[in-house]
Amino acid sequence: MEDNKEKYQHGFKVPEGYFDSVEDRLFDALDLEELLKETGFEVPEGYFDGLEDKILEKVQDAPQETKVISIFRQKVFWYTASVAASAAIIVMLFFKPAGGEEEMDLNEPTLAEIEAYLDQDPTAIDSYDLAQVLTDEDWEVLETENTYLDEESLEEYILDNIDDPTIFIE
Amino acid sequence: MIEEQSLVSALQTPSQKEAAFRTLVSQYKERLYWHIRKIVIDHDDTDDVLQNTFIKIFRSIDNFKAESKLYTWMYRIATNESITFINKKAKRAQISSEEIKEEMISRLESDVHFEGNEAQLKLQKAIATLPQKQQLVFNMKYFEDHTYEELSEILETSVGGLKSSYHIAVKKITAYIKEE
Repeated sequence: MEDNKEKYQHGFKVPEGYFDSVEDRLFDALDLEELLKETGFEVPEGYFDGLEDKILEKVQDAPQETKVISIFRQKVFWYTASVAASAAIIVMLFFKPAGGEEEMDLNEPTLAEIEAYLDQDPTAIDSYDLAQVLTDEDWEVLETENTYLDEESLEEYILDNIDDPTIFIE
Repeated sequence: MIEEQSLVSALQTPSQKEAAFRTLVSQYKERLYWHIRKIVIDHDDTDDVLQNTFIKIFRSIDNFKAESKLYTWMYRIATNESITFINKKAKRAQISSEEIKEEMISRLESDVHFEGNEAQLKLQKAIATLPQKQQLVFNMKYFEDHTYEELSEILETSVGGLKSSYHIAVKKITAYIKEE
Protein backbone atom coordinates (compact mmCIF):
# COMPACT_ATOMS: atom_id res chain seq x y z
CA MET A 1 0.00 0.00 0.00
CA GLU A 2 1.18 3.55 -0.83
CA ASP A 3 0.73 4.84 2.74
CA ASN A 4 2.73 2.04 4.29
CA LYS A 5 5.43 2.36 1.70
CA GLU A 6 5.73 6.07 2.55
CA LYS A 7 5.72 5.27 6.28
CA TYR A 8 8.51 2.74 6.09
CA GLN A 9 10.71 5.05 4.08
CA HIS A 10 11.44 7.43 6.94
CA GLY A 11 9.16 6.24 9.69
CA PHE A 12 7.65 9.65 10.48
CA LYS A 13 3.94 10.37 10.45
CA VAL A 14 1.88 13.53 10.88
CA PRO A 15 -1.61 13.81 12.38
CA GLU A 16 -4.41 13.75 9.86
CA GLY A 17 -5.12 17.17 8.29
CA TYR A 18 -1.90 18.62 9.73
CA PHE A 19 -0.79 20.35 6.55
CA ASP A 20 -4.26 21.84 5.88
CA SER A 21 -4.07 24.07 8.91
CA VAL A 22 -0.40 25.00 9.25
CA GLU A 23 -1.04 28.69 8.49
CA ASP A 24 -3.98 28.93 10.89
CA ARG A 25 -1.99 27.47 13.74
CA LEU A 26 0.95 29.76 13.09
CA PHE A 27 -1.35 32.77 13.34
CA ASP A 28 -3.06 31.41 16.42
CA ALA A 29 0.30 31.07 18.08
CA LEU A 30 1.03 34.69 17.34
CA ASP A 31 -2.40 36.02 18.26
CA LEU A 32 -2.88 36.99 14.65
CA GLU A 33 -6.46 35.95 14.68
CA GLU A 34 -9.65 37.61 13.50
CA LEU A 35 -8.72 40.79 15.36
CA LEU A 36 -5.94 41.36 12.88
CA LYS A 37 -8.13 40.84 9.86
CA GLU A 38 -8.62 44.57 10.23
CA THR A 39 -5.73 46.57 8.85
CA GLY A 40 -6.19 49.65 11.04
CA PHE A 41 -6.42 51.95 8.00
CA GLU A 42 -9.18 54.56 8.17
CA VAL A 43 -10.81 56.83 5.56
CA PRO A 44 -11.95 60.42 6.13
CA GLU A 45 -15.61 60.58 7.12
CA GLY A 46 -17.98 60.61 4.16
CA TYR A 47 -15.22 59.79 1.69
CA PHE A 48 -17.19 57.10 -0.13
CA ASP A 49 -20.41 59.18 -0.43
CA GLY A 50 -20.23 61.20 -3.60
CA LEU A 51 -17.25 59.30 -4.95
CA GLU A 52 -19.33 58.32 -8.00
CA ASP A 53 -19.86 61.99 -8.96
CA LYS A 54 -16.19 62.79 -8.48
CA ILE A 55 -15.09 59.87 -10.66
CA LEU A 56 -17.72 60.50 -13.37
CA GLU A 57 -16.61 64.10 -13.56
CA LYS A 58 -12.99 62.98 -13.99
CA VAL A 59 -13.95 60.44 -16.64
CA GLN A 60 -15.77 63.12 -18.64
CA ASP A 61 -12.89 65.57 -18.31
CA ALA A 62 -10.29 63.01 -19.32
CA PRO A 63 -9.41 63.13 -23.03
CA GLN A 64 -11.25 60.54 -25.07
CA GLU A 65 -9.23 57.55 -26.04
CA THR A 66 -8.87 57.00 -29.75
CA LYS A 67 -9.11 53.53 -31.13
CA VAL A 68 -5.79 51.76 -31.03
CA ILE A 69 -4.79 49.86 -34.12
CA SER A 70 -1.73 47.76 -33.59
CA ILE A 71 0.85 48.93 -36.10
CA PHE A 72 3.43 46.48 -34.82
CA ARG A 73 1.72 43.61 -36.59
CA GLN A 74 1.86 45.20 -40.00
CA LYS A 75 5.03 44.25 -41.82
CA VAL A 76 4.38 47.07 -44.28
CA PHE A 77 4.96 49.49 -41.40
CA TRP A 78 8.46 48.17 -40.77
CA TYR A 79 9.38 48.12 -44.46
CA THR A 80 8.13 51.66 -44.92
CA ALA A 81 9.82 52.83 -41.75
CA SER A 82 13.19 51.31 -42.70
CA VAL A 83 13.04 52.70 -46.25
CA ALA A 84 12.11 56.13 -44.90
CA ALA A 85 14.91 55.99 -42.33
CA SER A 86 17.51 54.99 -44.95
CA ALA A 87 16.31 57.74 -47.28
CA ALA A 88 16.59 60.28 -44.47
CA ILE A 89 20.16 59.20 -43.70
CA ILE A 90 21.18 59.39 -47.37
CA VAL A 91 19.67 62.85 -47.71
CA MET A 92 21.52 64.00 -44.60
CA LEU A 93 24.85 62.55 -45.77
CA PHE A 94 24.86 63.78 -49.35
CA PHE A 95 22.83 66.91 -49.36
CA LYS A 96 24.42 68.84 -46.53
CA PRO A 97 23.74 72.55 -46.70
CA ALA A 98 26.56 74.54 -48.30
CA GLY A 99 27.23 76.33 -45.02
CA GLY A 100 28.73 73.09 -43.70
CA GLU A 101 29.22 73.17 -39.97
CA GLU A 102 25.99 74.83 -38.99
CA GLU A 103 25.05 74.35 -35.40
CA MET A 104 21.91 72.41 -34.64
CA ASP A 105 19.17 74.78 -33.70
CA LEU A 106 17.48 72.37 -31.36
CA ASN A 107 17.64 72.75 -27.66
CA GLU A 108 18.87 69.36 -26.68
CA PRO A 109 17.37 68.22 -23.41
CA THR A 110 19.64 66.66 -20.84
CA LEU A 111 19.15 63.05 -19.77
CA ALA A 112 17.87 64.21 -16.39
CA GLU A 113 15.23 66.37 -18.07
CA ILE A 114 14.06 63.48 -20.21
CA GLU A 115 13.85 61.25 -17.15
CA ALA A 116 11.91 63.87 -15.19
CA TYR A 117 9.54 64.33 -18.14
CA LEU A 118 8.91 60.59 -18.43
CA ASP A 119 8.33 60.38 -14.70
CA GLN A 120 5.78 63.13 -14.59
CA ASP A 121 4.13 63.01 -17.97
CA PRO A 122 0.60 61.78 -17.41
CA THR A 123 0.46 60.44 -20.94
CA ALA A 124 3.52 58.23 -20.40
CA ILE A 125 2.99 54.64 -21.36
CA ASP A 126 3.07 52.20 -18.48
CA SER A 127 3.28 48.44 -18.63
CA TYR A 128 -0.50 48.11 -18.51
CA ASP A 129 -0.98 50.36 -21.55
CA LEU A 130 1.68 48.41 -23.36
CA ALA A 131 -0.03 45.14 -22.52
CA GLN A 132 -3.29 46.54 -23.91
CA VAL A 133 -1.68 47.36 -27.26
CA LEU A 134 0.56 44.36 -27.77
CA THR A 135 -0.85 40.96 -28.64
CA ASP A 136 0.60 37.64 -27.52
CA GLU A 137 2.21 37.34 -30.93
CA ASP A 138 3.99 40.66 -30.48
CA TRP A 139 5.36 39.56 -27.13
CA GLU A 140 6.65 36.35 -28.66
CA VAL A 141 8.45 38.31 -31.36
CA LEU A 142 9.95 40.62 -28.76
CA GLU A 143 11.04 37.68 -26.65
CA THR A 144 12.72 35.85 -29.51
CA GLU A 145 14.43 39.03 -30.63
CA ASN A 146 15.92 39.43 -27.18
CA THR A 147 17.18 35.91 -26.65
CA TYR A 148 20.67 35.59 -25.29
CA LEU A 149 23.63 35.12 -27.54
CA ASP A 150 24.92 31.61 -27.80
CA GLU A 151 28.30 30.86 -26.30
CA GLU A 152 30.10 30.62 -29.62
CA SER A 153 29.07 34.09 -30.82
CA LEU A 154 29.92 35.49 -27.43
CA GLU A 155 33.40 33.98 -27.51
CA GLU A 156 33.94 35.23 -31.04
CA TYR A 157 32.89 38.72 -30.00
CA ILE A 158 35.25 38.74 -27.03
CA LEU A 159 38.17 37.50 -29.15
CA ASP A 160 37.53 40.12 -31.81
CA ASN A 161 36.87 43.08 -29.60
CA ILE A 162 38.62 42.81 -26.29
CA ASP A 163 42.37 43.36 -26.12
CA ASP A 164 42.91 42.84 -22.42
CA PRO A 165 45.01 39.63 -22.24
CA THR A 166 44.06 38.94 -18.61
CA ILE A 167 40.65 37.78 -19.73
CA PHE A 168 42.18 34.68 -21.36
CA ILE A 169 43.80 33.55 -18.13
CA GLU A 170 40.42 32.38 -16.82
CA MET B 1 -26.09 43.22 -6.90
CA ILE B 2 -26.73 43.53 -10.60
CA GLU B 3 -25.77 40.48 -12.55
CA GLU B 4 -22.31 40.91 -14.01
CA GLN B 5 -23.21 39.98 -17.57
CA SER B 6 -26.01 42.53 -17.89
CA LEU B 7 -23.81 45.19 -16.30
CA VAL B 8 -21.07 44.51 -18.84
CA SER B 9 -23.45 44.70 -21.79
CA ALA B 10 -24.90 48.00 -20.44
CA LEU B 11 -21.36 49.33 -20.04
CA GLN B 12 -20.64 48.46 -23.65
CA THR B 13 -23.83 50.16 -24.93
CA PRO B 14 -23.11 53.89 -25.48
CA SER B 15 -26.58 55.06 -24.41
CA GLN B 16 -26.42 53.16 -21.11
CA LYS B 17 -22.72 53.45 -20.42
CA GLU B 18 -22.77 56.36 -17.97
CA ALA B 19 -25.57 55.02 -15.78
CA ALA B 20 -24.04 51.54 -15.78
CA PHE B 21 -20.67 52.99 -14.90
CA ARG B 22 -22.16 54.79 -11.91
CA THR B 23 -23.56 51.46 -10.72
CA LEU B 24 -20.20 49.81 -11.26
CA VAL B 25 -18.41 52.48 -9.21
CA SER B 26 -20.96 52.12 -6.39
CA GLN B 27 -20.55 48.36 -6.32
CA TYR B 28 -16.79 48.23 -6.38
CA LYS B 29 -15.50 51.52 -4.94
CA GLU B 30 -14.97 50.23 -1.41
CA ARG B 31 -13.49 46.86 -2.31
CA LEU B 32 -11.07 48.39 -4.82
CA TYR B 33 -10.25 51.22 -2.42
CA TRP B 34 -9.15 48.83 0.33
CA HIS B 35 -7.25 46.67 -2.12
CA ILE B 36 -5.29 49.70 -3.38
CA ARG B 37 -4.86 51.17 0.11
CA LYS B 38 -2.98 48.10 1.31
CA ILE B 39 -0.52 48.50 -1.54
CA VAL B 40 0.01 52.28 -1.58
CA ILE B 41 -0.69 52.84 2.18
CA ASP B 42 -1.47 56.57 2.09
CA HIS B 43 -5.11 57.68 1.79
CA ASP B 44 -4.54 60.53 -0.68
CA ASP B 45 -2.39 58.34 -2.90
CA THR B 46 -5.09 55.66 -2.77
CA ASP B 47 -7.70 58.21 -3.82
CA ASP B 48 -5.59 59.13 -6.87
CA VAL B 49 -4.94 55.53 -7.85
CA LEU B 50 -8.61 54.57 -7.35
CA GLN B 51 -9.73 57.35 -9.68
CA ASN B 52 -7.14 56.42 -12.29
CA THR B 53 -8.25 52.81 -12.02
CA PHE B 54 -11.89 53.70 -12.71
CA ILE B 55 -10.90 56.00 -15.59
CA LYS B 56 -8.94 53.14 -17.12
CA ILE B 57 -11.85 50.77 -16.59
CA PHE B 58 -14.22 53.25 -18.27
CA ARG B 59 -11.89 53.67 -21.24
CA SER B 60 -11.11 50.01 -21.71
CA ILE B 61 -14.50 48.47 -21.00
CA ASP B 62 -15.23 48.16 -24.73
CA ASN B 63 -12.22 45.87 -25.05
CA PHE B 64 -13.30 43.71 -22.11
CA LYS B 65 -13.87 40.14 -23.23
CA ALA B 66 -16.19 37.84 -21.36
CA GLU B 67 -13.36 35.27 -21.09
CA SER B 68 -12.43 36.65 -17.67
CA LYS B 69 -14.67 37.88 -14.88
CA LEU B 70 -15.32 41.63 -14.68
CA TYR B 71 -14.39 41.52 -11.00
CA THR B 72 -10.98 39.91 -11.53
CA TRP B 73 -10.31 42.13 -14.56
CA MET B 74 -10.95 45.24 -12.45
CA TYR B 75 -8.74 43.95 -9.65
CA ARG B 76 -5.99 43.33 -12.19
CA ILE B 77 -6.21 46.93 -13.40
CA ALA B 78 -6.23 48.24 -9.81
CA THR B 79 -3.20 46.10 -8.93
CA ASN B 80 -1.26 47.26 -12.00
CA GLU B 81 -2.13 50.89 -11.35
CA SER B 82 -1.02 50.61 -7.72
CA ILE B 83 2.28 48.94 -8.57
CA THR B 84 2.98 51.47 -11.33
CA PHE B 85 2.25 54.25 -8.84
CA ILE B 86 4.58 52.80 -6.18
CA ASN B 87 7.35 52.25 -8.72
CA LYS B 88 7.08 55.82 -10.02
CA LYS B 89 7.10 57.17 -6.49
CA ALA B 90 10.18 55.09 -5.65
CA LYS B 91 11.93 56.21 -8.82
CA ARG B 92 11.28 59.85 -7.99
CA ALA B 93 12.78 59.30 -4.54
CA GLN B 94 15.60 57.26 -6.15
CA ILE B 95 15.07 54.23 -3.92
CA SER B 96 13.61 50.76 -4.50
CA SER B 97 9.87 50.06 -4.32
CA GLU B 98 10.44 47.91 -1.21
CA GLU B 99 12.31 50.76 0.48
CA ILE B 100 9.57 53.27 -0.29
CA LYS B 101 6.99 50.91 1.19
CA GLU B 102 9.00 50.57 4.39
CA GLU B 103 9.35 54.33 4.52
CA MET B 104 5.60 54.80 4.18
CA ILE B 105 4.92 52.22 6.88
CA SER B 106 7.32 54.01 9.22
CA ARG B 107 5.15 57.11 8.82
CA LEU B 108 1.97 55.22 9.77
CA GLU B 109 2.29 55.97 13.47
CA SER B 110 1.70 59.65 12.83
CA ASP B 111 -0.84 59.13 10.02
CA VAL B 112 -4.23 60.57 10.97
CA HIS B 113 -5.89 57.92 8.82
CA PHE B 114 -4.33 55.00 10.67
CA GLU B 115 -6.07 53.84 13.80
CA GLY B 116 -4.39 50.46 14.14
CA ASN B 117 -3.19 49.10 17.45
CA GLU B 118 0.36 47.98 18.12
CA ALA B 119 -0.19 44.48 16.75
CA GLN B 120 -1.74 45.81 13.53
CA LEU B 121 1.14 48.23 13.05
CA LYS B 122 3.63 45.43 13.64
CA LEU B 123 1.84 43.29 11.07
CA GLN B 124 2.01 46.10 8.49
CA LYS B 125 5.73 46.48 9.21
CA ALA B 126 6.22 42.76 8.73
CA ILE B 127 4.30 42.80 5.42
CA ALA B 128 6.47 45.68 4.17
CA THR B 129 9.56 43.49 4.48
CA LEU B 130 8.22 41.01 1.91
CA PRO B 131 8.93 41.17 -1.83
CA GLN B 132 6.14 42.91 -3.78
CA LYS B 133 4.53 39.74 -5.15
CA GLN B 134 4.37 38.10 -1.72
CA GLN B 135 2.87 41.29 -0.26
CA LEU B 136 0.10 41.15 -2.83
CA VAL B 137 -0.63 37.48 -2.28
CA PHE B 138 -0.60 37.84 1.50
CA ASN B 139 -2.87 40.92 1.56
CA MET B 140 -5.36 39.45 -0.85
CA LYS B 141 -5.49 36.07 0.84
CA TYR B 142 -5.29 37.09 4.49
CA PHE B 143 -7.31 40.32 4.60
CA GLU B 144 -9.54 40.02 1.56
CA ASP B 145 -10.25 36.28 1.63
CA HIS B 146 -9.87 35.76 -2.10
CA THR B 147 -9.74 32.18 -3.25
CA TYR B 148 -6.52 30.93 -4.87
CA GLU B 149 -8.44 30.54 -8.14
CA GLU B 150 -9.44 34.23 -8.10
CA LEU B 151 -5.91 35.24 -7.19
CA SER B 152 -4.59 33.11 -10.02
CA GLU B 153 -6.75 35.01 -12.50
CA ILE B 154 -5.94 38.45 -11.05
CA LEU B 155 -2.19 37.95 -10.68
CA GLU B 156 -1.82 35.62 -13.66
CA THR B 157 0.12 33.08 -11.62
CA SER B 158 -0.50 29.37 -11.10
CA VAL B 159 -2.43 28.24 -8.01
CA GLY B 160 0.60 26.18 -6.89
CA GLY B 161 2.88 29.21 -7.15
CA LEU B 162 0.42 31.32 -5.17
CA LYS B 163 0.09 28.72 -2.42
CA SER B 164 3.83 28.59 -1.98
CA SER B 165 4.09 32.41 -2.06
CA TYR B 166 1.46 32.67 0.67
CA HIS B 167 3.10 29.97 2.74
CA ILE B 168 6.50 31.67 2.49
CA ALA B 169 4.93 35.06 3.30
CA VAL B 170 3.28 33.66 6.44
CA LYS B 171 6.55 32.10 7.56
CA LYS B 172 8.50 35.33 7.05
CA ILE B 173 5.87 37.41 8.87
CA THR B 174 5.87 34.95 11.75
CA ALA B 175 9.66 35.09 11.97
CA TYR B 176 9.64 38.91 11.82
CA ILE B 177 7.08 39.23 14.60
CA LYS B 178 8.90 36.72 16.83
CA GLU B 179 12.17 38.58 16.35
CA GLU B 180 10.75 41.98 17.25
